[in-house]
Amino acid sequence: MARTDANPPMPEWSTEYQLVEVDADYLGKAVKPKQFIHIDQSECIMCEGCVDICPWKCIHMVTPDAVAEAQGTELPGEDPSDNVIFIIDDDVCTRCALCVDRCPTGVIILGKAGAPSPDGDSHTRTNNHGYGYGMRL
Amino acid sequence: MTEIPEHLLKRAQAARDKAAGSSDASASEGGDRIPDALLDRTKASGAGAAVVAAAPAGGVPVGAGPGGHTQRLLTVVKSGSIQEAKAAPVDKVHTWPHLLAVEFVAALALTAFLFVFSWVVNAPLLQAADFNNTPNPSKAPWYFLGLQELLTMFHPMIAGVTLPGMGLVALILAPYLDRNASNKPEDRKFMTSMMTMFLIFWAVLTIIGSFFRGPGFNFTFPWRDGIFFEL
Repeated sequence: MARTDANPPMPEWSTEYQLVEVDADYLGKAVKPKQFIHIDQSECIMCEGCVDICPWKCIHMVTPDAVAEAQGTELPGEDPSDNVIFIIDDDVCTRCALCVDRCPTGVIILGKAGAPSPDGDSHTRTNNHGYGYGMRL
Repeated sequence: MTEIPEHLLKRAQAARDKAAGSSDASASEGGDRIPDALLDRTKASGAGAAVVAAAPAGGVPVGAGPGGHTQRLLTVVKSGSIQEAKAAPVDKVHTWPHLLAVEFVAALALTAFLFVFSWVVNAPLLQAADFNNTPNPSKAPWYFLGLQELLTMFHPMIAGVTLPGMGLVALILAPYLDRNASNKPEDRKFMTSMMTMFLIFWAVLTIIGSFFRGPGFNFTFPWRDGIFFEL
């Protein structure tokens, strides 16, 4: 079969990441779309649905060994209960939110990088607002 | 109108205080563009809102990650998992459409080929069987002649049930016996030689059954007694 965009090549990944804590300003400068994907680890069941559905293959679940060094933040893997980490390539991610819709436990959210409006951030998932599986509640 | 959750009201209040120039709020460690609820949650999970970058020395340059990209740590998941994770991401391809589309096209092509083949090649039935005049030799279709040849050497139980049964069991066990994941011929010499030996063995049986068996299924030479074989 001819190669199509349905199966794009993988972005480059490292197995010796240097982890650095940055602020939202840096993120706003480094990445153009002013939204970001976030996974709440407490309810993540590691089904890799987000990894599978991502059209750009920009989310990946890897072992904490992939991070070699951490500066100013805790090194993943130091705590023995650290099981896996999720990494996203923010340059490749188009914020299509397919992973948000795919997540069976609804723990992936599309946040807005910026100050929330006085009546709350419309992109934040709450008990009565946000994303559910297959639909927007 | 839906009720606004309490934590949103609190955050909005904090944002209003900050806009009013409150010095306390401005000290909130640069995380003002990420919702506080998220920051709290990531802090609770032990992972900051962090960028994974390759060269952090002297402040984080933009696009310092692999391939000049900005890669971000989404989360560190704590609990155990049945999934096997590796340090480097593994490229995966979906069964649909990458495999199923190819298989569907192959099925269509094969159906078309069979349609045309059965249209072009005439394969009529023979005349009605006469049990007073049975054919001699009575031969199976060519693809069963190897099996029929086995019947001349072994008890029917062995040749008809045990040996083919062992073959079927071997086929069922093949994925468990052959753990070699490589599909390069040079890495599969043992299994290739096993299959070659089986094919030659079966081809010899089929050739003997087809051309070297005459009336009464007795051994014969085709150049001496003629060929007793119909396709």
